[in-house]
Amino acid sequence: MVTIDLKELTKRFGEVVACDHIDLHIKDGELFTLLGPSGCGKTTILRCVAGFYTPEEGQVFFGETDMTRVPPNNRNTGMVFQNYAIWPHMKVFDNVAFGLKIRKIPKNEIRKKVLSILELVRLGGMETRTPFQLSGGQQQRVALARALVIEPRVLLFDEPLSNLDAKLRVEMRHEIKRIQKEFGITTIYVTHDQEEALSISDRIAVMELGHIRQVDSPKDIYEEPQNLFVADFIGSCTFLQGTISSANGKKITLKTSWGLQLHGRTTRKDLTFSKGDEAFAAIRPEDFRVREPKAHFNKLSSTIESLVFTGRYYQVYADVGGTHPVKAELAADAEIKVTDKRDLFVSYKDVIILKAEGDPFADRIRSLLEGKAEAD
Amino acid sequence: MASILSKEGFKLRFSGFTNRTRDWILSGRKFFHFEYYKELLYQFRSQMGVFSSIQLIAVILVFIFFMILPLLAVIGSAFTVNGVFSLVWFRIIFTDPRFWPVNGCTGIPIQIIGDYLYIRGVDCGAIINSIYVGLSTTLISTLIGVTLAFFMARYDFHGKSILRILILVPILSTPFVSAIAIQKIFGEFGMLNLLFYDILRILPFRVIFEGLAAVILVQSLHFFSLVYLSTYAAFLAIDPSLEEQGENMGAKGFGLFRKITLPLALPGIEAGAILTFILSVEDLGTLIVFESDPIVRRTITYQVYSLIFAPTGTINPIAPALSVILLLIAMIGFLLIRRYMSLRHYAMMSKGGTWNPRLNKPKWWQYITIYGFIGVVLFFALLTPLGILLLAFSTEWGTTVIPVNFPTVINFFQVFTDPLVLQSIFNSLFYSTVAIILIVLLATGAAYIVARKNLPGIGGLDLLVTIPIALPGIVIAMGYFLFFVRIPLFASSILNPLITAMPLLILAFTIRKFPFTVRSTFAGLQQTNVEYEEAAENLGASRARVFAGIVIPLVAVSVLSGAMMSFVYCMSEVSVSLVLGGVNPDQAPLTWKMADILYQVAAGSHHAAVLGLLLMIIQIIIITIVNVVLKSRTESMVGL
Repeated sequence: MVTIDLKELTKRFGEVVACDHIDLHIKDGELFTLLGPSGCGKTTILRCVAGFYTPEEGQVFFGETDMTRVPPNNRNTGMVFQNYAIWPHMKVFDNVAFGLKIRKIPKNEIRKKVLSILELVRLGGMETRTPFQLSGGQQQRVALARALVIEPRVLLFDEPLSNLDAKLRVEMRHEIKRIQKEFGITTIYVTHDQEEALSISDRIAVMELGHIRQVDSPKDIYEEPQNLFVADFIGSCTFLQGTISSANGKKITLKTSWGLQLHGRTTRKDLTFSKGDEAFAAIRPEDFRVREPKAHFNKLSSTIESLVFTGRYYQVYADVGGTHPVKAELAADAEIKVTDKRDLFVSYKDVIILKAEGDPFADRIRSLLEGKAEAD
Repeated sequence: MASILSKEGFKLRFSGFTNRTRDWILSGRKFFHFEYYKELLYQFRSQMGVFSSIQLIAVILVFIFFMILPLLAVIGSAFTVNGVFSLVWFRIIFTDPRFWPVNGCTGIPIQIIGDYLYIRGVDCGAIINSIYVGLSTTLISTLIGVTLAFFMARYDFHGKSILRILILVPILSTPFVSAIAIQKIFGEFGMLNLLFYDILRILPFRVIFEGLAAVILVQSLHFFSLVYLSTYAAFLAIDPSLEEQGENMGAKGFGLFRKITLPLALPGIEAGAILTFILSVEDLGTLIVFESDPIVRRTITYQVYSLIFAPTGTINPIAPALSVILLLIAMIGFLLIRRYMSLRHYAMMSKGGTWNPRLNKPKWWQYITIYGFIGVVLFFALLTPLGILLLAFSTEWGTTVIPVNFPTVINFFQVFTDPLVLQSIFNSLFYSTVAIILIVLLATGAAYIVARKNLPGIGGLDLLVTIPIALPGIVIAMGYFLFFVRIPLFASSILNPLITAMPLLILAFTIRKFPFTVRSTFAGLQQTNVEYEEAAENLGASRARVFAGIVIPLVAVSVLSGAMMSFVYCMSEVSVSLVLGGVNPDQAPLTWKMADILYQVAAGSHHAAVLGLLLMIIQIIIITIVNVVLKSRTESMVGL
């Protein structure tokens, strides 16, 4: 099919820079996700690729062809919209056949293609329904069929599952992935839902404020966050602020202002850590334990501040010193009560140490820890 | 925020001002770069398909030639003498007691003589007279309309569905004859005085409306329905949770209404009120009915009308200057509407689509208030169509409650034996139909471009296509005479109204009734998700195909209801019809013929009432379709 390249892509809306000099290479047949909070510029990039926006600077390439100023109707992309955009004045069949009619494909062939694609998205026999007779999930499938049937070079998804209920969302996620792999179409998928992004994508670009903060496979995004924003956005890390007290080889030690020593590792192989550097330790709630592991662990003495039973685990806020409690998910079989004094354990490999210097998100974490901004 | 009066505050303001000025000047530099125009051309070509471009160019051309240039001709004549700039016409106007109260106002507004109570209004010269008639009509219409809308939108009571239909009756626009009906019913020995003074003896006086007070009465009984519609829509558009939140915090009853409901509905109320002001000031039909009273003749609209002598195209030199003053008054109103229209959407900010409006069951005393108020309003409002009916089916209505020989159908035979009457009905239907076709072709494009395209100058286009609502018809008519008769290029063409009135009548209808369709279409587009169009474009549809295959079907109902209202208002258009229709009676529209019958025929008012009845029936059919079948919106009804 085709690769997609974005070169120095910049789109402004008045004073606001929606995406700022974005460089991206999307491989042939890949399902590539743009992930980030609302307003980070992910939809802007998607719409530049679809042709609905013309960037102020930079270019969009499909393969070797510069598409930057090609109108959307000549790009041969198939887009699935957030609100599905199923035309209410047309039956399911006519909705799906629309793109084929424009391509002047013979009638009997249109019929064959539409019926077979409807079969593929499991809407067989529904071609005479009107959109009002369809559920949200079915409308979603019509939108997908309509985009697929024209055999586009590129598939574009703009938060396609955000209007579905939780169960249907998981189901459609698998469906989209299955069909995308079956067709092998290069795909850009926009979402703010990290679980969705991690489960569906071949690669993910995490975005913030018009910039791409990290591009990696889902596993690397999750396990090797390269900066504070990604660490914060993926999973809900607790951050502990301190200074580097020693750094030898892979093992880095951070000392907090109240004297807590944390051993950990860094995901930034490119940076050297030296004593006295300001840094943050990021720990995921699921990495805390109440039972002592075999070796290579940190021990944090804590007081349990609050406790919520969620079924699989206790969600716990525990005071380990400092201004903010740590968030931990502890095994549901542990005996825990509020005000208990418990030792929490976390392995060295689960403490990710990231430098404050040079990280645009450091100020935000600092003010979170100082209680100036509300924690989420 | 620092006060502007403090030193810092002033500095803050001033630096903001200078910064903005600097930015503006800097942004002005771009106009000197070739790149800017290249980019502009690209923007235009990437957004506008062939069809939209043709529509845009056609809209601009039509509005330039049939609105802007004629208006400029009026303004030009107003400020020049023999081609040289001069304010002499204005000096004449402002020193003439007919136009300006150089010697103060005269007349006794309310007077009791014996058992007669005269309600007249004072005479302050044409300019002030027009303004105070407009303001009084607006005030009365707003008080009635808002109260009515509040009752209808917030209370649930028996018979509401039938009352809701009856309240729409006054919106029927029957120029001349509604004024005649009221003149008869409120007359010295009219139905009301006979009933309430002579028979029932409730009134201590015989009440007589004269002069401008009579004009205000006629207009208020018609225009309150506009304010009502606009306000009713605004009340219904308020998210109930906003009021519930207010209640939740302890507000209730009138306090809740004053602090929450009224401010949220205010943009809608103000839009309706200002529109009423504009329409009242430019209303000509009522003035003509009451023209035997010299004070009624001393209004700007009437003066401008009487200073144009259509058959030869002669225009008194002070008429353009008077027109400019009339234009200015209407334009101030229009700019106020525009200001409030931008505020209008905030009542609907919270999302969630359809909700159940809040309906209260009234308490017993509220029942009495509601029925009492609606009863009185409806009684007076329904007098107009009743009067027209009585007039149409009688030949003499002097000093009895019901006309002496009611009912008789003789008028119908007499009216329709006049071939010019049939001709005028045909003319009006023909002109209106052609105008509507033009309006639909152009207004859909204009609304689509304003709603969807992001190009420099879109705000100007929006202004251009909505401004006709504020242009007094008589000013446009004068502009046509000044522009198309005097410019040699047009003087020998079919656009010269002295040669043939038809093309200009059609174009005048097109321009004047354009806003109803454009606003309705625009509202429809705003409620249609852009993603529908993007999805089609994404699948390879050209812009023309997106427009024809997706946009038009999705907003068809809005276009249609707007177009039908445009048609209704074309059929009852007065000012341009009267001026241009006089040139050639063969080509005159229905409203011109109605005025002609009033002047020429002995039983004129009864014959005109027959034609008024015909107009009413056409309008009832169309409004019923718009309301019931198309479930239409207020935008098309009031053109805002």
